[in-house]
Amino acid sequence: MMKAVLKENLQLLRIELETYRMLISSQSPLPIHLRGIHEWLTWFYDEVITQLLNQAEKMLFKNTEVNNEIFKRLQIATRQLRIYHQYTTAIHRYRESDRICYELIGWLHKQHPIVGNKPFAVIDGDFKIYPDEDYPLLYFLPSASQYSLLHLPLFFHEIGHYFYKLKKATLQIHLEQLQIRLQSHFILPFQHNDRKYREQVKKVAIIIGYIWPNWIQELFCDAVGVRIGGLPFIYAASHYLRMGGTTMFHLQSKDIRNSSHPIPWLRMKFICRYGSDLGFPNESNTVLEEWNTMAAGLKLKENYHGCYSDQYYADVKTCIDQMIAEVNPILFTDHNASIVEFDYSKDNFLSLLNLAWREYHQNPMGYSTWESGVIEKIVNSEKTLVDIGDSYIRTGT
Amino acid sequence: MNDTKWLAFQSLSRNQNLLRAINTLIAYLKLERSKENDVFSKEEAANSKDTLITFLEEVKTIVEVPSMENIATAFHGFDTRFSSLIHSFQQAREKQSSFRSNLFRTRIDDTIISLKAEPLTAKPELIESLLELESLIESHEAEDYKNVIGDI
Repeated sequence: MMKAVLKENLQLLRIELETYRMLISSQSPLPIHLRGIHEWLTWFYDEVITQLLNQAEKMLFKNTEVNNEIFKRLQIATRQLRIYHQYTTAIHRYRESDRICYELIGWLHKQHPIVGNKPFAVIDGDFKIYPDEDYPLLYFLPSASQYSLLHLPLFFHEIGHYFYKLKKATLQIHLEQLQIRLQSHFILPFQHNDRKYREQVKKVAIIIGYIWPNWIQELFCDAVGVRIGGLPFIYAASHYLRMGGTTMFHLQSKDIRNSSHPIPWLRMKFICRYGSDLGFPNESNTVLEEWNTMAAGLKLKENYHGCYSDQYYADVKTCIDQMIAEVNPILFTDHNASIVEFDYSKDNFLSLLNLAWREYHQNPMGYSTWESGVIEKIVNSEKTLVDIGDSYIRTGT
Repeated sequence: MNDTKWLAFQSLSRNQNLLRAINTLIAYLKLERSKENDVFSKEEAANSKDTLITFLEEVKTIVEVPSMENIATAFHGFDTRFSSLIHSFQQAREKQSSFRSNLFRTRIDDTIISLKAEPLTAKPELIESLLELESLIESHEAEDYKNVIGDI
């Protein structure tokens, strides 16, 4: 009986696998940007999943009692197919307009040798990345943002997560140093081993042991964003985050302790201070002033429920600086040239994003028309990205 | 930009690797014991074993070492989901828990030593430890799966 059920599940999985294989063959000819992800998916379906299914099938004919192991193996194959089907979506739902995101990210990867020739895909969703060493990078961004140059700098934060993953062993040393320094700020009033003291210790453990490892990664990624993107990142982050409602400024105690990200208001303070250090003191102050004005209008005051205080700023800043030095992302000043018109044959993406924000600030009402024209030129350009070995180069007339 | 799913995805990927390693190793040991193994290569079994040893070595340093006074170093900067897995592991080792295998009742090193033994044999206590570890990771993985993929 059990064997019959297992055989049926195996057969259904083989059908599902064939469907996925068909979907990744649906783009013909295959756009050049999708070659990396297509190659990886082909390997994943032909080798990883097929091996899981073949091994399960072989075990079906054994006398040894391994039904549970077969069942679990089929379950692993099922879960893997469903988790990674998102990469398949990037291929079979591909549209020519996706190209601008692929080109930006391809360019970004090329600037950072530690990323290597890592395959990646872009799909719909709230801004995020799935940064995994064993699987292709999956970037998400909202549909509307895919057609807006103004939001694209947020990718610079997302790639920070992958840098963090790649350099985790080294960055953890800096995190541990930060945790030790933060611990010194918490002077516990009760030194007896009683209930009150243990509760205090537990609270500190949550803040230092659970909250800050996540928060420091986000603040590090924001610093990566400012370093790569400069002003366009500061503006994009401010615009994107500030419309999230009152939780952008304030969280209840229980919510802050469960949060994986610092409160956006705090993030913006760090982003703007970092931007100020990198040469934008006036613009950064203006952005921060906007946040302060909104908070005042909403009658919200800073309260991090013990998770953050300005006393920690120097320690946190030191940790971020050390992490940035380890990873060494590109600095916007090395690539960004001030331009008045985008020339696809010679200008890079940082120049384009700078130009876009300048256009927006100068003429918000006419911006959409300007942006549509630029995007249309890029999408309709005959130039393409060609994958040669470990890097992307631009080609065409 | 402000989403927690990437944490769940990392955790899911890590847990999937562990579950596959456990599954391979248990099936390999059972089939080797009955001399029926033509399914898994020695190399695949060795890789699975190494994956589990690395994981248990990491768990050991946190589960067996920390004190309440040494908060900062006890966590070593692990992400929230990994810390949560460690917490489940610690709970499983408490007296009142239903986990009964060597892995949760004796030193973690005992299981690591069993895994490192050459030749690796299908001792009942090792299989039992692997099955309980599988069960613990499955619960954790189910949470990640729900977070990343959602319910049907």
